Amino acid sequence: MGFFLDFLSSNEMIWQTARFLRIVKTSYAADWKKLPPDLAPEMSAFIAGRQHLRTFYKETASLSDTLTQITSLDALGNVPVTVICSEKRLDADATTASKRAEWNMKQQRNWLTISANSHFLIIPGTDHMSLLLVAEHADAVANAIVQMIVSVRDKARSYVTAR
Amino acid sequence: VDAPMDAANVSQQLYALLEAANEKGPYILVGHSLGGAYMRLFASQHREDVAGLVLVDATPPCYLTTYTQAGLPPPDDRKWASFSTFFRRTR
Repeated sequence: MGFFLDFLSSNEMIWQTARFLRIVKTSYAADWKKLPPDLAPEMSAFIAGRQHLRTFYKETASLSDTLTQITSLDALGNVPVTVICSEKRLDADATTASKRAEWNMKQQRNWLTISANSHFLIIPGTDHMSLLLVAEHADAVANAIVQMIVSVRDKARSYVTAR
Repeated sequence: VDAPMDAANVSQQLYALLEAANEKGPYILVGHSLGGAYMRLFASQHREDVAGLVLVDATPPCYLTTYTQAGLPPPDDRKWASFSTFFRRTR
């Protein structure tokens, strides 16, 4: 991590002073404002926090290592896997946005190979962040997770019954 | 924890947290974006404890390499550059 950034985020008082002096400025994409009123202040505080910045920076610095670590892993056998894919990508240029969305769908489909029991789900109208931030999109994600839980529990029950 | 935040470390930390909290498997793992990559590694490392995996628009292994092959600018480069240079969070 850069020395200056490391210093600014090393201590809460320094961090708050840096924010006060506007050495650091935090702002949010429009989608964050679509969160329910009870969640918005907490998310705002989280985004503006120094630990979030440190984590964000460290994740970015380690991105290449992370991608190397998940390349060439063994498949997961028959473990149930649900791959959820957003439908569009946001970009100022419509052609680039379309290309990015097409590229992403192809990459998401590649995840299907990690298990013999995988399923693909595109949620209409979603982009990468709206999957979490727009209520109806997040509901669709939550439903997919619930379906996974129900299916795993049903399988476990039938296994116990069979024994 | 002042360790590199790569998938191996995140997976290790998550497992340690689950152990410390006495949360026994099997687990259903859910990861969005880069979190999906972390969960993919966790699932491989602790396969016997994993009952299911949900990847939500997960970052694929070829994220940094195939983007340019598809004729697209490298992802988020400008955002990272802006972030590190001006210490501004724009998303």
